[in-house]
Amino acid sequence: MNKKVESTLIQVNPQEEDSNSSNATMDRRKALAKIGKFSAYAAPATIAILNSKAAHAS
Amino acid sequence: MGSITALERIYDSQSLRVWLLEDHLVTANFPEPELQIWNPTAAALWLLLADGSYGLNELVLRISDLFKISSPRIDLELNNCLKDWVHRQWIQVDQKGKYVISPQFTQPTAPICHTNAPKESGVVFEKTYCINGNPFRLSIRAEEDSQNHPFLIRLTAFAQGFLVHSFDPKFQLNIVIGSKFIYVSEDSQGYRKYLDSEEALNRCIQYFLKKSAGESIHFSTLHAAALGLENSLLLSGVSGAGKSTLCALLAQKGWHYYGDDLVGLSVNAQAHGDLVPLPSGISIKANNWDLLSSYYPILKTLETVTYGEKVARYLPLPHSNHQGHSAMSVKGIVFPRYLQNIKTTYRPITVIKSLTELVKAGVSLHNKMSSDEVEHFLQFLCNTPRYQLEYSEINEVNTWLSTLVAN
Repeated sequence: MNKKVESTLIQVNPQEEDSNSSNATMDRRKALAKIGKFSAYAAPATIAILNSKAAHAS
Repeated sequence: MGSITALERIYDSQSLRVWLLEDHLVTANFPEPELQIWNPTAAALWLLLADGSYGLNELVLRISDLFKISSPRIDLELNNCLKDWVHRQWIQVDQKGKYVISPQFTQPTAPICHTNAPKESGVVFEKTYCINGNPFRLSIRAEEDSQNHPFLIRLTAFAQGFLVHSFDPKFQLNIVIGSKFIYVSEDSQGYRKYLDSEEALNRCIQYFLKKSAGESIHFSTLHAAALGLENSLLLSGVSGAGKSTLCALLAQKGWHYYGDDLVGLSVNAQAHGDLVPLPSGISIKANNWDLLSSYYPILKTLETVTYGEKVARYLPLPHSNHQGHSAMSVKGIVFPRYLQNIKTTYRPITVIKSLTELVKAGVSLHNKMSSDEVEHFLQFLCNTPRYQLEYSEINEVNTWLSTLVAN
């Protein structure tokens, strides 16, 4: 239990931040490559919009 | 039952949160939450922009390569999407003419102005109700020439399903029907004025849901029926899909009834969805009166309510079925469709498909929902089994839904 608390208190050094950010870039590229396999929708389009206005009673 | 789908947050700022979900882009902008679902091409476009700044031509090349498309319109289509995002202030054009992500925070909308209601009106309806253990009084006054206003007939028929309460409640919904406007006041706040009676009705329904939710502060409103045994199921779909008839038939088979048309949903940080019931009278359309009269003879004697092009009777279901329940976990979302002489079939659907169906049917977010709460709502959809159901035989549906709700 104590060990877990300790580990959350360790300050992240700049090097680790860089590695986090490059991980994020890698993740984005992976996601992009995966999306590339789908060509169902050629044009970027909105499929649905959901807002905070009240739904209508039928 | 049902598979858990990953919801991946890819961007977060004060005014915009963006996720990847089943290769689609889901965006939520604030302060008043609006959720948009975009197709995979838009998802790719966003991912490229998240990686750096690009000009239109570079984006056209990357997208064409990625999707193996050579549409002569691709630059026009991408340009339209980019213009839309610029208009929404999610991206902007830098000094080199390249697009970069930079959402702007817009100020909350101005507070609602309250007004005074006409004084020359008499009380035409007053009753105390209790929804989900929370009592309130509904008091309606009307000016002399508005005492048969269709809004009055519809609202009182709708409320007929609620449990009548005999104690003096702390909360009160006051309505005044004037010759031109309808005035609504919630719990002694000032009156809000409505020209459109549909808008006034929606306001009342939101009030009923707020009372039903009690302490839960964040919820969405769904155009759905809700039934349950130990837990609950949502039956959603567009008007005319047969939700109400199915609901009335299942209630005959011992299901507890929690709502027919609009119900609320409260989602907690563990993405666990609880039903906020609204057990109004069930709106039975004219074409189903004959079928359901054999189960509910009272249907023949109920007042007919006309609204828009619809003619309906609001059937109250027995109160003993829906009082005093604590929070009910939502175990599934089903989109039913009645078709004559077919074998009952059900199939799981994707989160994007279910979200799109919910939007088609009518769903709204609470106007104070935070980005975390919107994310919990999406996570709830990912974790909850979702099905499309086609049926013609009620016993088959009953058996299948009983299995679904028990899991």
